Amino acid sequence: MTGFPSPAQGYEAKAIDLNREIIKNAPATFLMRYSSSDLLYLGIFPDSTLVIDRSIIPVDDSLVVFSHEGKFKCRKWVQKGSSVVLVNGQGNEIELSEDVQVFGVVKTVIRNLA
Amino acid sequence: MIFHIDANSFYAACERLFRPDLLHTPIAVLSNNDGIIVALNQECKDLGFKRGDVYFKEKAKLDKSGVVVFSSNYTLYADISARLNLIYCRLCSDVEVYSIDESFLYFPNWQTEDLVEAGRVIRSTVLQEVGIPVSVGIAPTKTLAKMCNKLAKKRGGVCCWDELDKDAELKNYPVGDLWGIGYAKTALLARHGVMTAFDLKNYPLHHAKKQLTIMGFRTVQELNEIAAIDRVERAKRQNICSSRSFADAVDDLSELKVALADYTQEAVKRMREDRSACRYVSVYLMTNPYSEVGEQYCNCESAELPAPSSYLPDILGTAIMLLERIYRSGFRYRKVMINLLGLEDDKVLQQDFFIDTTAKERENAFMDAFDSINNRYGRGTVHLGVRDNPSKADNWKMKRDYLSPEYTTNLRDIPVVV
Repeated sequence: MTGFPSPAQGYEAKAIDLNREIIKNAPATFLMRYSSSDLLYLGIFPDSTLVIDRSIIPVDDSLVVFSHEGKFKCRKWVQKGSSVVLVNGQGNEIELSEDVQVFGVVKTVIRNLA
Repeated sequence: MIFHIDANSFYAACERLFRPDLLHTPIAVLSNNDGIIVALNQECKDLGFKRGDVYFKEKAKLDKSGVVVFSSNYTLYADISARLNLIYCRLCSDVEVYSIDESFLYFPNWQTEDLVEAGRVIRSTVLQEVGIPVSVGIAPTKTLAKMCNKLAKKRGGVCCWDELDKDAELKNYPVGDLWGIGYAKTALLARHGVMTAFDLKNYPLHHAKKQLTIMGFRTVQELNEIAAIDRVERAKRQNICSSRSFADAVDDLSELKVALADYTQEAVKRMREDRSACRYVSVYLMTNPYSEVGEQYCNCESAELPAPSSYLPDILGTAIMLLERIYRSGFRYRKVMINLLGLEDDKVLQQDFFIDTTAKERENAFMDAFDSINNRYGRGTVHLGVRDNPSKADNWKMKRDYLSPEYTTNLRDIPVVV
């Protein structure tokens, strides 16, 4: 150490790191592009980027990505009595069964405006 | 205790992860240049295909059986592999990455009481968080851990040596399936009546050392629960080689130079990562030795540098000169290769009285800048001048007709949700 210590010593702020804020568990985090407009009622626009964390266990009201009939789909996880249904507000519910493989829980949605 | 973790049909599992339409579909993954099958999933094995099958010979049969074929997507496999290892590092403080799909985890004996349960936790965590199935072998030595892993694949994914009827298992295990016992050693052992892992366990150590070299000796020790095989210390390489076969034959010298420049740049980058410098440069040039059409040609020429160097312009200049010497027009070349030899530590370079050291420092600073630009912005962002022919560059690039997208490493390639 030479010279005078900076008067800001001890007060330096770290720059905000969005990776750190959004990605809590890196090995379990995957990105996917949402292409449908079904979830507009949840504020999710087509062409948004979904940040999916596979380590999160879905609970009532979670948004999940799952595969069904050979495609990735994104819906809300709703507890209905003892079973679970996946809803997109369009009426056609999908019941959680052998035909559904949960990929992971959507943790963050990124939408670029400019 | 040593845990050996192996991702099952790893390349095929990576491909399937982002293709929900391939849930029960047979998948085969091809080697560089789409040459042979290097990985296949269980569904594909069940159809009778095996590792090493030549793609063009099996193509019709694969198509007819509904097998989906992929070119090797190492960008994807390396990313998924890194995720697995990140999870292993979270669960264990001592992880040895053995290959892209295998790792050894060392747990101190006091740390885990219920080993099988610990193995199950690793397996379920990886499956939940990355979506790749792995199997776990648990034993006091690496050889036994690898053997347990093979057994685990048929027994629910986790197999612990201490829970087994040890001698009975060894008697059922062919010696050739053991780690480090290859084809030649299997044949040699058979002549001495050693057929199973149990026979080898009880093989006299002095015979083992004489007949199987020190590696075989260690295998015998490991079968007797004495840990003898150290972790692979990444010993410095003796030579660095870079080459690829061309997808289409090349006969034009300038095109060959462009390819050679690319491989040289790759080799020098690897050498600099090892902090080494080379004394000799060899260049190989060959046509297709298996082709029966026309005359074939292959040649190699080497040169010694005035002093060991890791300076790309020096090495590339030498390589181009060598290529010009061995090039004969009229041949359809399939492969050009560069080999850097006589590697030594770059830090303790023997000084040549006649070489100006300040120039060396300048060269080193130049190469550092060169490497960091390419590391940051991607391979080939900056390159030396011979690469002047971008329109033809595609001709000698690897053949990868069935390449999947970079699902996890390129924002333009991420999977789509409908």
